[in-house]
Amino acid sequence: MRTKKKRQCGSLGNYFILFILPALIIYLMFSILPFFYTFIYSFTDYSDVKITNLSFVGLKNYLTVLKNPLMKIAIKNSLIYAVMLTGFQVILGLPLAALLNKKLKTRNLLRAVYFFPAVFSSLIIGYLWNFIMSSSDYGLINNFLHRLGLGTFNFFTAQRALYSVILTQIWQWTGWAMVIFLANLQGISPELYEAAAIDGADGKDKFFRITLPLMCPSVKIIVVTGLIGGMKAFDAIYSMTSGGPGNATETVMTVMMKKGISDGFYAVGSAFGVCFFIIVMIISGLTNKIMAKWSEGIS
Amino acid sequence: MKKKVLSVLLISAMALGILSGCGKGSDAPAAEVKSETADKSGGEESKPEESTAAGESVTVRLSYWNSEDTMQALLDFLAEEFPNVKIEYQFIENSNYDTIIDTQLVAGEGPDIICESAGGVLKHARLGYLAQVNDLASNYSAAGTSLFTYEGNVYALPGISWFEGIYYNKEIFEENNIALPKTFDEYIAVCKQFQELGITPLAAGLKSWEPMLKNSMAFVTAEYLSTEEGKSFGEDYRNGNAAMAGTWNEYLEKWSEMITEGIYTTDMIGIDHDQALEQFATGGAAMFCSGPWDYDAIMAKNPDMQLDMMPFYGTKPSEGWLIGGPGCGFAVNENSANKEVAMEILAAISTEEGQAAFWQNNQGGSSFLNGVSFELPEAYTGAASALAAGNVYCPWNEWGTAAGAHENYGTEMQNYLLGTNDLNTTLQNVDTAVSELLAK
Repeated sequence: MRTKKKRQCGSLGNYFILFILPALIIYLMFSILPFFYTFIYSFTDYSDVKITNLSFVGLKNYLTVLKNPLMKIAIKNSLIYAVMLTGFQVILGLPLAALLNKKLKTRNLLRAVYFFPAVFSSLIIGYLWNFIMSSSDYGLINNFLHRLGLGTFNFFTAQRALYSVILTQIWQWTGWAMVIFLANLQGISPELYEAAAIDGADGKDKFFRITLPLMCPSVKIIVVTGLIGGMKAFDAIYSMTSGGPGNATETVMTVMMKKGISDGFYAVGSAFGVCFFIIVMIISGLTNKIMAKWSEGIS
Repeated sequence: MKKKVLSVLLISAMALGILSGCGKGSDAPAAEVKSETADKSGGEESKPEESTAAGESVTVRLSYWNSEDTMQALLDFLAEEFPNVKIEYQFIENSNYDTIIDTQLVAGEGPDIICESAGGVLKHARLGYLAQVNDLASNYSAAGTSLFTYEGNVYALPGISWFEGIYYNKEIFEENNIALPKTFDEYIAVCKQFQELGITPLAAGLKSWEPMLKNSMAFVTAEYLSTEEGKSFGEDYRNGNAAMAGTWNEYLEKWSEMITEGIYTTDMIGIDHDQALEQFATGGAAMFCSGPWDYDAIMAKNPDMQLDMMPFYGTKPSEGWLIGGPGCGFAVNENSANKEVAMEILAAISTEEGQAAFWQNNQGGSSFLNGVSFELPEAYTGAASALAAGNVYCPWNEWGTAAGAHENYGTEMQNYLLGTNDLNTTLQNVDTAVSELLAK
């Protein structure tokens, strides 16, 4: 007599393969395979005028990337962008989440208002802020300044343009960080606060000794995704400055797109991509290590 | 058991969907591409591979970086001329145009008729993607076809020309009793007069690299590139026998009065093209550098505006110069399944009626087809003498496969305006970008 094989709870047996297959195929085809090709092409002379019979050129493309003066500007700008955006997301998002976790009458409305900009594409937000920050009389901020009898404030000089873009992105993404922090906050047991209150802790003590340490998982998510996303910044820069004025807001991705794709230097673009992958991997590794130490310290 | 079967079916359907999405498609355009059908006959869509014989419908794909409305009259004309041909108009946004066309050609799925820039024609002709059009090209002036010539053969037919000059508001000039300039120094003096009156002389969207590129190159054209000494510069430059740094410095130093006299300001770096157009169209500035493509937008914002255009000037009195050239070259994909039909379409475009239809949505430009000329609209009266003298020139069209470096030039000029680079470094950086592109 055949007995029905019973699986343990949570075990999917052979179904496991079937269920992960679609995601695995997508991942292999759109992430692993292109990366593999990118790596191979980075050692060839592949360009828009040489698409077949490729020759191996060793590290020539990597040397071109490292010698490119734009590379230094791009890495510096990407780092400033990533660190500032992530830092402000945490600095502004945490207290905002703590505030909107309190029993306010308007808290649901405020949560929606702060989260709302994250719903839109960065391109749309970029074009919108382009209008708001314009130096022309039709720019919203400068129009207001002119009405007050003040002079034009140019948001897009070589010195300010990058920070102007970062400002718009902080405005857009702080609400998103706030939501992640809120989810974490709501998972903290109220009994901890009650116990602290009995021990005589005030609001400041509760935030720094209970809330902040237990927020480690969400801070880790925001920091890691923020840094990686910041390093990959393209759409906001593209819509607001296109890397200009001059080269003042060029980031790793905008330079890679211009040199690698628009100018047809595909092999150099591939080398650029591999270098960028290594940089992001190092940053992610370091961040993870620092965060792990913080977690250890708490536990 | 039912659940198992359902799960397997759902997963199979999902996997099939993914795989089918990755397979070689039909002749449908890529996702980034907006494609519309220009045919008015309403016949059913057919594959390009289908025969053209016996009145069967055939689809020919035509790609261009300008929106369909800039070609509508020509598409209507072709629909009438070729009732059995459906022309599928494929608009591809300018900044991605070359990349998408390159990819399609490599994949063997390029458009049948490709509107190409001069640089694009040279590159694709070199790679063997374009068919020769020498016979049809003999009907055009050499000024138009020379840009599309590779190793003695013509690979594209010049379309209606484009040009850019300085639009000016006649009313503002007349109200303030300011005469039109005839030299660069007079132009600077006019701008200073406007500044003293509290009027912005020139609206400029310097967030884009284009305005300073065109304005400064027009001056260099008037002063150097149009002279005996400088007329071979383009050819020498594309052959790697000349450099901008050391050659253009003296002219651009003079042109820099545009910056030192406060006509181009660093504040303008915060203004884009549309905002500058708005400023000019609503009377906020006396002048604005642009071409016929902005005419409708300006007039839509201010229908009562008395608009005219003046050319750019050098230091010596002349008819002035406009920046411009053949807008696009019509090329035929060598590997097209509909090569013959595509050639017939190019032949139809190369008639007086075809040129008139194309001009309909590009008024102001001129035709390179021998014996064909059009009346100049009133808004370009001030530029008529420059056009009549043939003083329309686009320096980077001469740079061959390095033509794309004109964007580097514009970007470097932004750096120069902002004081990030001096003039010599600016020009050296452009030279480096050009050499890299030429060395490919």
